[in-house]
Amino acid sequence: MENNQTRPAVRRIAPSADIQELPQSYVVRLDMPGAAKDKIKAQIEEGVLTVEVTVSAYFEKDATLLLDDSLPIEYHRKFSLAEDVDQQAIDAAYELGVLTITLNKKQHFLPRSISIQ
Amino acid sequence: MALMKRNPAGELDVWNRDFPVARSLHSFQREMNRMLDNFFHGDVFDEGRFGGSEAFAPMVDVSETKDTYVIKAELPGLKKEDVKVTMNNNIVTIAGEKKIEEEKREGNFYRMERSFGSFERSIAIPGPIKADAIECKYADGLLTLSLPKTEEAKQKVIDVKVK
Repeated sequence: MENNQTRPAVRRIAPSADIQELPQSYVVRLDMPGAAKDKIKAQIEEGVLTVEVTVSAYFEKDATLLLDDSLPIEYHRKFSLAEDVDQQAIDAAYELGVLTITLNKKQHFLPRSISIQ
Repeated sequence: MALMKRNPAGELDVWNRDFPVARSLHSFQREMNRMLDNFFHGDVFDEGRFGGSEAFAPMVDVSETKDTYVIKAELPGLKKEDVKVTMNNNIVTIAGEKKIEEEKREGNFYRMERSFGSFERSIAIPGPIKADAIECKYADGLLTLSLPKTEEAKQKVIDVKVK
């Protein structure tokens, strides 16, 4: 096989996502198994949330692969945020290979009841 | 996570060095039937990977070094207690059930791509292994199984004496 140099050095994967809307917030869950918590980058720029992390290759270089590919995995995904998201109140937690991002809604978008005088 | 002997059940991924990702015909056929079934009866988004109870197959990578076979399975969102690894007749089976998170039953969903439900994957190991020295680790949604080869399996080159 001489076509090694044309192969990318990483496996680029858009992680599977669930996006849930709750009354007070949005919850985004991303499957990113094997990541180191402190290497996960999540940032918001101009209303776009970008999440990325590189997970080192699953196998040693000299291992013979019997199934699938062995390259570092780069998880990368962007979400454009709804206008009611409070960009200053975002929470992220990584557990069991799942990144959970909680995006709180801006106060004045929250449902409220108005009392009648 | 218990490692125990059991009878193999369900589908089996057949693999060897010539056909790295060949799956069994049975499993392929089943998959096709399921697709057709979904196509003709109701909404494909009703079940399966979109939150139903149908089985899904986790991603599995298998590699071989001089001394060991290594299996990595991606099981994001699963707790250690929810995964069962068994070994029988040189076939490793990874099974479990991923339950939908409790807090997920409310609100609206804009995307639902992550899989839930029960799963089972079996992998036939091509050579003899030391069954009592199998190592199984689970961290951050990634299961790592190390299956050390027996001494005779390591010895790839056999000198034949010519008389």
